[in-house]
Amino acid sequence: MGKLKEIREKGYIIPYRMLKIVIGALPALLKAMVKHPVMILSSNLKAKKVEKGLVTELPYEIPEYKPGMPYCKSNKRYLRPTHLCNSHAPEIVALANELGAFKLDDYEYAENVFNFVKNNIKLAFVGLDREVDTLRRGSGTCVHQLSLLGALLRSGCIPFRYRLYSLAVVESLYQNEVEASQVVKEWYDAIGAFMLHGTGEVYIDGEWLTADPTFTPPYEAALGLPLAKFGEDPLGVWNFPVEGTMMLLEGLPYGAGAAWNLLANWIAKGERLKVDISMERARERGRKILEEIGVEAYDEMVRKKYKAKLPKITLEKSPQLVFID
Amino acid sequence: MLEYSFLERINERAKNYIFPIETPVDEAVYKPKSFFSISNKEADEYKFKAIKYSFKHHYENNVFYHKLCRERNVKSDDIKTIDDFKKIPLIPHEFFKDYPSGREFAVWLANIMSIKLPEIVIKGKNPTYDEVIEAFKEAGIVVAYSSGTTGKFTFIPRDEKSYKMTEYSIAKSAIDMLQHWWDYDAYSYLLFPDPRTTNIFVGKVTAILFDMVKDTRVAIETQITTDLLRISMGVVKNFKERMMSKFIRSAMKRMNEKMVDKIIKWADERSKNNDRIFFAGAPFILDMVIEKMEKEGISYDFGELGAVLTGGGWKTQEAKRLPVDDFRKKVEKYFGIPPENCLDLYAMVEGNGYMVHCPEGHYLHIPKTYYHPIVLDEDGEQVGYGEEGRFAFLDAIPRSYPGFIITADKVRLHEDCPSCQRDGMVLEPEVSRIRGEEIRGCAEEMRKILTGGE
Ligand SMILES: [Zn+2]
Repeated sequence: MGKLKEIREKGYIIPYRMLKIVIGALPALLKAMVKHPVMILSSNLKAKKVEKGLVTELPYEIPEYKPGMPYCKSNKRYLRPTHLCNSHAPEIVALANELGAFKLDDYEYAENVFNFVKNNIKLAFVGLDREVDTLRRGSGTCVHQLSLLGALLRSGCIPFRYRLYSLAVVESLYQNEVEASQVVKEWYDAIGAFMLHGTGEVYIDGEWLTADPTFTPPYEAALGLPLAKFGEDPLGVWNFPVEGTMMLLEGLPYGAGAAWNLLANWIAKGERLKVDISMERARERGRKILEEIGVEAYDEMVRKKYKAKLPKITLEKSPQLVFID
Repeated sequence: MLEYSFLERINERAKNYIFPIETPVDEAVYKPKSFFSISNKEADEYKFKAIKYSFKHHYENNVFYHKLCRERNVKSDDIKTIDDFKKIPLIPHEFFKDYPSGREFAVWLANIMSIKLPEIVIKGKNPTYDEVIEAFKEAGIVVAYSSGTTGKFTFIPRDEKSYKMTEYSIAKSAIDMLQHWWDYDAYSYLLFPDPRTTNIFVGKVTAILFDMVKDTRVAIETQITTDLLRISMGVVKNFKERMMSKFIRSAMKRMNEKMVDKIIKWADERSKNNDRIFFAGAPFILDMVIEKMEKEGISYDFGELGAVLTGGGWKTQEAKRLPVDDFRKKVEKYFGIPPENCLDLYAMVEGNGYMVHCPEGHYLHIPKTYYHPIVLDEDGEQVGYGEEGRFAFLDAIPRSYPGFIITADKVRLHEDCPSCQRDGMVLEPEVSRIRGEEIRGCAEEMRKILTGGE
């Protein structure tokens, strides 16, 4: 009984809502793919070469694991390892220690972890794999990045969960990611949204805080977005969740990545790489912008634009409204 | 030449929508002989007075808008010329999507309004949106809405006068461009939900069609509520709704097929009797009708007796987008209605300006006497004529809410129409959605319902 509960809690069985989103997105994807077989084939043929060009040096070193390094052994919800988010993995434990686990206070440590993932892990639409694979590669989708973020946080005894949803994106993001591949564009246009995005939630001092490390600062600069900080929600900044698709999960379901992996690693690898290249070029542009303007000055400038976009309204009681039970 | 003027003709039919002229807004709406074809000088006089008056009204009577003006350091006397219009604080359209539920929704509505509310009785501990809207309606306030693909609604409250004025304006604008066709003695088919039972904005505002044309039919008779809309778009809250969603979708699909057959039958009768006909509403419905006619090898030749006014948006996902040009060609081929009689109207729930194609070039003409268009870049700065940007407007009509709004639509504004002789600003024929903004438009929500969310 206990085992079954745990399996359910950990989210190993794909939630109905996610199944619905994935299945709902398939016909449009298939249609977009069937329409462009030659394009997909030729981009796949070039994939190997292109992929090589994308490999860059990691901006960090993975510290060495030493036996006896402390890590969180609790089996409580949101603290224990889950699928593809192993907070007990030696490399994770070593990095968590280096980032200040059990030394700094919870908030400081969480912020460190967030900044590490945000600043170092580049967005790339690779097949779903383990947290350590993401760490060794230095790149991954938003979900990869969350798994790494989550593993590091849980290793340092800070509860973490996934917030997954479908979303619509802002124009600059659409141009850079969606329009980079005709297939992806047709897919997105048919649904009007991206199938799935993940934002992290971190439990500190009785509160679930938001952590979305998806974009590195150069990429944000290229898109004209503010540089996301720990605790900030991307909602309304660059992303617009589709009502009714939000899911809070302790862990990723088994098999959820299978269809994605088939697509990203095999069937449409070339198309996926087109998007990755487009993002890499944007990051180069963004780096220049940040060098020219300065990181802080850039952020300040952009934030002014986003600040106070919506006028505030206070809900004052109206004597004319009569409520009766 | 004996001229029984367009204004006289329309005012005779629209008697119930006309109020005694008391304010500059009333003047700007009821007095001009046209919203489109008067001189810029005359129009600007109306427009300046109307918008200045309206701004002052909201500044003085709307707590939240007053605060916004104070934050931006603008006072009601600061508007001394049309040039000063750029000082008027604009409200982003998202503002009207950001509301609480239950009783608080009613409180929110009350707080965004700039008029003294009548007493409104709301029953139940946790009323639904539909229930709150009904309660407001009982008190004479029409809360119209529109929804988008992400399932959030935009709610806009109009008091009786604002509501009647917006209906008057849509009729005066649309019929102006179809003057050459219009006669009361005609038959029309409204390709929208029944205005008498719906609160979806474009459905609602077209109620005036019943007064403009002798015989009007409605394509969608089912009562459409916010819950029905949400559920049929697949946004469900529980198991029961999930089941309902399946049921609604199949029921709607069946209804959809019947609807198409009914419309063809109607066209058949009208054609035999040589009647003057008018289709008004969602373009995709007429497109479905044409598809069926194509399949069955049916076509009619209404010629100059026929007219089409589409509205509610072409802003569907691009993949499914109906090219407006092709659509006109199809209408000509299957109904024999010439492209000069096949126009599109661009409007949105937040505003009361109705931009209508001119027959000559299908540019969207902007009503000149009470409505001021603005195009902004992503930093909120105004862009020049011919440049692409985000549409915003100052709308003098609504008394019940400040009509100074930034939309989610991408447009290009020209100082003059490249195709016709009417003075004044126009938008390019097609309006699209700014990316990152959800797709909206009354036609799109109808399409989702009728096709089972495909
Ligand atoms: Zn024109």
